[in-house]
Amino acid sequence: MSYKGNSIFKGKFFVWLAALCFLVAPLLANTYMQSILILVCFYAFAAVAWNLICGYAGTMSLGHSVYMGIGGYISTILLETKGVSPWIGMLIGAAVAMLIGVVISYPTFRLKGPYFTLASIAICEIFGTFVLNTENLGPIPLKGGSGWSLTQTGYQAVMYEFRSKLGYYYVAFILLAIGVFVTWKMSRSKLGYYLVAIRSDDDAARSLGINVTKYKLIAMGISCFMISLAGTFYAQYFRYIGPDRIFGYDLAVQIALIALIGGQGTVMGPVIGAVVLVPLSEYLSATFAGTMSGLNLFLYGVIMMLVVYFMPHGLCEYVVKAAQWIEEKLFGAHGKRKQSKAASK
Amino acid sequence: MSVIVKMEHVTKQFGGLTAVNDFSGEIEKNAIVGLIGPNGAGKTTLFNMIANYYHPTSGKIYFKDQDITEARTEDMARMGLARTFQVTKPFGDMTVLQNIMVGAFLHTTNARQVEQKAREVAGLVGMTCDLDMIANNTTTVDKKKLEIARALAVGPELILLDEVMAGCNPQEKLELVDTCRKVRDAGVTILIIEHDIKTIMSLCDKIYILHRGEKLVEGTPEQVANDKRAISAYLGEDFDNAEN
Amino acid sequence: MNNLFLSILHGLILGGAYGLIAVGLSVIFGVVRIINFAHGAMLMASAYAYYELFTRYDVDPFLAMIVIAPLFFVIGFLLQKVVIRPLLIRERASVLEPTSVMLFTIGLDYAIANLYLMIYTSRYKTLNTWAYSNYARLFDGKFVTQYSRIISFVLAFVVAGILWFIINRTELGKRIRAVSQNRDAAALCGVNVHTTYGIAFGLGTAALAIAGACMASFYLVSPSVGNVFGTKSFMIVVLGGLGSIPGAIIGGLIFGLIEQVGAQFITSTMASMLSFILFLIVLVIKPDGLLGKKK
Repeated sequence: MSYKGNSIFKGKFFVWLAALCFLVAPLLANTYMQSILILVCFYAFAAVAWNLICGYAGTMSLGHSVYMGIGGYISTILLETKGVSPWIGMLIGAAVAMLIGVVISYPTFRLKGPYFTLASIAICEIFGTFVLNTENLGPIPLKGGSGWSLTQTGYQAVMYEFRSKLGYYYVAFILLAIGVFVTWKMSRSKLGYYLVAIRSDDDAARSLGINVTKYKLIAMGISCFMISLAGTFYAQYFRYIGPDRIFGYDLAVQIALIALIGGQGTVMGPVIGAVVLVPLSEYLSATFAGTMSGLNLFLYGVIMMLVVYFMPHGLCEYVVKAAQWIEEKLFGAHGKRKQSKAASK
Repeated sequence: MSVIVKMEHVTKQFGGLTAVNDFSGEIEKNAIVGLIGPNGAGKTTLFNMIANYYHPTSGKIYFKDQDITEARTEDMARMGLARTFQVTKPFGDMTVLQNIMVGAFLHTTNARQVEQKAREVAGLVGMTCDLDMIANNTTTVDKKKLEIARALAVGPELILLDEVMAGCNPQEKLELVDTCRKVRDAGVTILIIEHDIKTIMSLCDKIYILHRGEKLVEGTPEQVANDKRAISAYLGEDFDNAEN
Repeated sequence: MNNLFLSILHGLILGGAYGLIAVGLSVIFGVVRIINFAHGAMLMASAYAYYELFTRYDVDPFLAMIVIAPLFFVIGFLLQKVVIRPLLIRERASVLEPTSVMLFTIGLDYAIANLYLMIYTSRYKTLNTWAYSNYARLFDGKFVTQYSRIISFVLAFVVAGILWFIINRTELGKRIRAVSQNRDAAALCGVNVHTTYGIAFGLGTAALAIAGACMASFYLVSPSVGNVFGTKSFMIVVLGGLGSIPGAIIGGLIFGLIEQVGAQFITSTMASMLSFILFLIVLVIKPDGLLGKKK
């Protein structure tokens, strides 16, 4: 069913409506709301990147934030030591993250199921520990556990620094839009079909001439490239990057949970997951700040368990169904018959 | 008739167990060749060696005069060899059509062409169900046909069918026999493993009987049916009576 | 040279505790074939149970263990029998690997860890038990270590021995082994598969509760210990061979040795990175672990 999830695009109306909402919403919001919207886009984009390999090919990574960290660190170090604009640094970081991702994944993709997951945790842990304990890597300063606080550049857009939150918002939104577009393109291309085939049964996939490792590596490369862009955004938006959070287990799991709860292996799933979870958790942690830290992540865990139990394909399935229902009411049943027939069986 | 697969003294051992012992044989182009034998005779092992799921301990296998003894599984489809699985392995989350499209993507990246090809193949094997159905929800016989269609979509010259008729009722078996004939008429050679003697006798041009990993008999259905060794080892004394 | 010898001893002692934490996970995987990602969180939960008992009623963790371990057996049994079983049955119909169970335990881990964070905040606590604050002096007083660490080391072998005995030498163990080898065949022979799974899960969780007593009395108690030790115990179990009881202990000893001996040369956090690298290398070269059997 999950593969069918992308049939939401048959109802283009809703996608354009959602895009319009995303475009207009920050203009109507106050700064606090804007910051939540930025986080929604940021987490949605990270989850979209995760989903591209982990959701489609079913390789459950719980250490994907490591590539976010690599991208963020590289662009930050380039900015702080050489004065390179993060717009360029972001691409350099992405290229390096992609390379590292592909090199590391080549051996670990041989591992199946939970073994791959454990390896991904270990990789993230290794990078995190290394950065935490290294002040200088040869001539390159890493600044160990203290991390980097970014110096002000005087709100220059060419240096990825904006005076108002709106600037950051639209950067995040464009990243997200690109991410969704790439996923959508991929899902209906050879690569997308091959990844879903590999997820279902890699023996059968091989018998159809699919070079399993090759296609997984391609998707991994794209995914690492994208998520490392999120890393640069993270560093620029928070004006800080340090090993604790970005190489930590919590962030990696959070990204995975957003995609899983939204619906893995679907185009819109990660976005839906972020739209539901991020405002909820931000609201809760703002309301109970200080008294009950952990409440927001506790809810992530509980919702994950409920989703596994009651909606194995994630929230996306229900959103699609609801959208189809509304569409039928609005525009009549034409053109939708096939989908609903398939869905009802 | 030219030969498409040639096996020379193929042996496969798993630890101390010899699953296939010194098997030699040929598959002629555009034939339907049957592989029968009791459980554990080594049929599927032989199959998996031709499809390069494992490699023989010793011996050589040639496909279209090329040595494929040590080739990789995923290269076989491009060379023109496709297979189905004894336990069907549909890509459960996808629709029937999307399943077949996965196979058809081998030679092109154009989604439109692929879809067209997939629909053609689905027609050829006689898929009766809605092509937009989720593969996991289809009936057993449709899953079998789906596997055949998916394998055919890669455009093979030889297709290996592993017990495609197991678990089907007589009516469905007839449908599948019909499918096999159509596939052969479309120019594809078939190697088929089957338990139902009656079906295989009527379908095949040539039959190999395997027994405890060794080739017991080879020949046309008539030759095999009259072979003393075959009758005592596998077909049973009253095979002739059962036939009628 | 002497320092090296001492660090080897420290490594073995610490490794024993690691092995003890990991052994329960290994039993669960060996039988039910799922990796319980909530393992670390449950360890942490048990440690807080000891913390409460010690601070409120002054009960030493090594004594409280007698009550907590059976309690955790019941928790593990129910978790499998009530919560995981329906997922396993549902998975049965479709895919080969129980992904949904894995996702469920990841969610459970996150939920438990953050629930305790909410209740106890991230401040860590130490339990000043007798075994925590008294030191054993061995080898002419050169080797100094807490009694609690020595008790943990001994307990690791005792618990591993008991589990090994139950699984390999008893009637119950015969059922457990049958189910782990082929659950359909075992079911046909009249073994109640899901009860057996529940018992295995319970045994693993009870072993974990014993490890929790050790950890509470030689380390500290905080919501994040689950994460630290949980991650390590996954690595240890895979290193030794998932499902192998001696493998878990040996994997634990290797981790302990690398961390303590490595700390002689580099910082201790860097040394723990080394053990992760070793884990990755073993995983890629021999995915079945050092003592694992080929499937």
